[in-house]
Amino acid sequence: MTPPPALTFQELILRLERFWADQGCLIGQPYDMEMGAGTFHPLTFFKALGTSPWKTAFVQPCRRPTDGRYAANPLRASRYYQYQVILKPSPEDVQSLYLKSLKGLGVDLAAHDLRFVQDDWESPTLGAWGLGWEVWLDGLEVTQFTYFQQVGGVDLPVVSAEITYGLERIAMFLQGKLDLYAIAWNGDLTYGDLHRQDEVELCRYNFEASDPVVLRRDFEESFGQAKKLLEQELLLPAYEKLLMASHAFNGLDARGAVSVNERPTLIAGIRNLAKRCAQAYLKRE
Amino acid sequence: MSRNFLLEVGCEELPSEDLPGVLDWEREGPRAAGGLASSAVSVLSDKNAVWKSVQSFATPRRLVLLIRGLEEKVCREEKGPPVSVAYDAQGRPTRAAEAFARRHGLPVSRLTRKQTPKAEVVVARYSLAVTEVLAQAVPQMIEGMVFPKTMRWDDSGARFARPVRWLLCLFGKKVIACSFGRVKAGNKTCLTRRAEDKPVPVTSVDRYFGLMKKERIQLEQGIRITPGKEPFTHLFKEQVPLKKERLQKALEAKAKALSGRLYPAASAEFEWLLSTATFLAEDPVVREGSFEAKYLALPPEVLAASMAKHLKLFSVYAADGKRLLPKFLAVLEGRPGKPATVTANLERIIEARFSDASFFYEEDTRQPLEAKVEQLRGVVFHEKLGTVYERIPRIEKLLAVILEGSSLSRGLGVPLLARMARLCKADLVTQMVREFPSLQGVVGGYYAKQSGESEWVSRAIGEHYRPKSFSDPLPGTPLGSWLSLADRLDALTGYFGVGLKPTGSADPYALRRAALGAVRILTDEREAFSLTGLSVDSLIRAGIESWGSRLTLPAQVVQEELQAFLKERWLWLAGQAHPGAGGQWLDAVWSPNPGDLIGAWRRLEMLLGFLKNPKSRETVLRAAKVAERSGRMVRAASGEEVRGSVDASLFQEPVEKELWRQWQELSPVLSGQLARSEYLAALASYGRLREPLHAYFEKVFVMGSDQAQRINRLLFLKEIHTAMAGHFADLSEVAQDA
Repeated sequence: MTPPPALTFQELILRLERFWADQGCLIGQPYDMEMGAGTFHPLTFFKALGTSPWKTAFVQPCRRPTDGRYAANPLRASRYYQYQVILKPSPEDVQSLYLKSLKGLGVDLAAHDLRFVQDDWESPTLGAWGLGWEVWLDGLEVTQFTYFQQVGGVDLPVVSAEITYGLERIAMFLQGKLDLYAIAWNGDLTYGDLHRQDEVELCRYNFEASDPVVLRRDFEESFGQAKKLLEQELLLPAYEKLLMASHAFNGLDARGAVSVNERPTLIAGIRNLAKRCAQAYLKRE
Repeated sequence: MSRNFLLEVGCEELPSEDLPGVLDWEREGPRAAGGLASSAVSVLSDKNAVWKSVQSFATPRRLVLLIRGLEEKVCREEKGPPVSVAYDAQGRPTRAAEAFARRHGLPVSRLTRKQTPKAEVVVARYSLAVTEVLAQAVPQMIEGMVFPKTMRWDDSGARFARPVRWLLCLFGKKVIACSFGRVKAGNKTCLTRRAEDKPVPVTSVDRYFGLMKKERIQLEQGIRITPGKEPFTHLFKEQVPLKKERLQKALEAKAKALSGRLYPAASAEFEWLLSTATFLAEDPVVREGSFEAKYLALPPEVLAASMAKHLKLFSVYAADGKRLLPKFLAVLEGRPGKPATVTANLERIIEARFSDASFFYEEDTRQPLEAKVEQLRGVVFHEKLGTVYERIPRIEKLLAVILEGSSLSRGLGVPLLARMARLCKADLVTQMVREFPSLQGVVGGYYAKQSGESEWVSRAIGEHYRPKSFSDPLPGTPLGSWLSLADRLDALTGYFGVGLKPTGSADPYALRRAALGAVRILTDEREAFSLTGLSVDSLIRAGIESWGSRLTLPAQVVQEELQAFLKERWLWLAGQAHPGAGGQWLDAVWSPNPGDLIGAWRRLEMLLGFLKNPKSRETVLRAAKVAERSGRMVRAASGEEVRGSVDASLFQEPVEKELWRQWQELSPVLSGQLARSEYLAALASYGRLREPLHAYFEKVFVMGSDQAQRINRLLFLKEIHTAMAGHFADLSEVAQDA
């Protein structure tokens, strides 16, 4: 008997959607702005606050300019996809659920080496932290697993479990590919067909062509706008400006335009916005 | 009757770095005594339980406590009101006595009496079933453990390092009804993740360990505490990290089979990796793999760090201990069904990681290291202590002081020192060090060489963070040691100078480690590093001066505090280096000069050497007798002004005159011997005073009422005492214990 063919990238996403929908998750959609991780998505950031139960799952494209390697590294890219799951409150069998989802993707757990390796996760810009693990599959970090303790500087009364799948890495693992650009997206096209050229150009932009002066102006304007909008109690627009400021910061960072001294100050500025957004949200709830 | 008690706390995977603390392996710091066994002992003694031994065990998913010989009954004694209140004039129990008896479930007639320092009181003595006590004690034992970070996972309010998912709790065969958070104790355990996660019943304490063995779940063992011994005095002698040692042996055997070796020397990095690998798997199994030889062009430290940090893989060194072989050893969990696929997957990831390291190397070396120095203006050392850039001239100045105290020629070149100081921190702003902070220094060394700096400068930069721990190797060159010393002294004087010295268990800037490293460099290889003439006092003074107005504490205070701090580390290190030697010998050698770490170490080694041979030991003890008798008197007179010089004409008694005569003969001989460092001969000479001194004290009453007489005699005894204590060691306190 021949084993079933490995999942394509799109089939992988569809399986995860099905699995988590069956677990009662609301299947969300990607947020239409640049962000460093699915944690920035309002369906994570705001919904983790307060006491209301919440279950969701969605794909989120992520931008991390400093991780760019001109498409020359088989594992890192400046733009990639996460699959984000939030379970609030965290169920007792959350680890087993996660393992079950992997089995559903065709991962033979008995054949491989799966490990939960400690990770004290922290997002200094979002004022968020939690404890959990990087999940290693034969040494490859395929998932970030976190029990949120704080978001927006607020102690969470109900602990959410956040499961963030690295989609490309799981696909590489399943398809036995050595390079993320070699992943079969569907039966015809590869991940590289869709994204290789984009990645090279994004790296050239982030490392060479972007204008630090413009980026700094973007940062400051978004930052100022966010504060104004918070005063006008326009919560989501204010939060979106925070996302823009955070992205501009990452752009500056990729250009080496943030001095070591300045870094903590800028990060603290964004964190402060995040805290105010969180407080404004809780006031409404 | 007694039985064995077992508690298994089943967890989601605990951080590997938490487990040494859980097993009570930590000697110092906030987590000493924060493990499961010590927490259990403290709860049990509170509750008066009687037991034979307590031991802890652990894997990433289970913390296990075994109490052997736990008595079924726990005796309690509660004190009540004074007898005068408990009984009326006719001796009948009052309502107070009745209420007290009722509270403890006893009839009034069972109350007894006990005399306390204050009054005679009534006492309730009764016994409880230990099972009842345990129901309360178990949650307290779990709560009593100390972790660096804890979390919540549900609304029970329970906190632990990771979620607790099951409790197995047996006294003999009986389940103890207790709970932690929402988890209720039962008689079931879970096996490895690879097995179906179905709970398995355990019928008795004794069966548990058999089951673990059968399932190949390797428990690492913690300390074993027996009653009556303070846990922390004997703890570490009994500490046997079985699982860790087994794993190390398995790794060594595999490395040998590949014609290589595991590590060039016992390093802090290896120790960390071994501990992590041990505590990351319930059933660790070693497999080998390889990578493309072209990556060997990268520095071996970078390859090793990349494999260790990202993948927890062990590098394999060639037999010379310098080069790497294109191999690695992986510690896998259990026996995966497709081990070859697992290592093939690891090999792919290594390629990606190494290609990343190559990227950093190329980016970083586009410009010479010198070009990075200016960027250090933007790197804060500490908010109260300025930037890293500002450290450069201070380190240079300290290097100059060290050069003065060394036996190396001045011709060595001050420019060389300036170059070392200027470049040693430049790698902090490289991408490689940002990715691998543990490689600071090492990376700088490679980049310095690549930038055309001299071999001496490059090597010194490369090794100046060593030693990183007690067992970590020292720098291999004198210049490396000097740079390490200057770096440490600059940091120590700075932190101490603004009041940031370690307090209690808190040492956020790792100053104890920094100081221990400085002491090791000064003492371990003083000759090799040509540091024999260096005065630590002057080094500290130079350090304090070079900080200028930035320090907020007075220079004198900083000097004294830092001296005491270094002495503390010295004593600790000396205790480790000479485990059998009593503390009195360690203290004795400090008397000539309380700031002279190097001399004290040399004298200690000599002194301990003398003690090994029965004949020279006798010589030391004879001399000690002289020191003891003269020293006792000098100390007894500590309230009195004893100044000036001995006036021989004031002596009256013949024994006194005789002692003086002998001393006049002996003293120049002794001085000559001490000056030539002929210490054994000096001790022998000194010991010749024992009999005359004995005769002296038989006849002479030193502390007489005539002040001039008294002071003159004290001056004489002080002169005798100082002759040895001021040059070799103060032996006045060693005799009793020797």
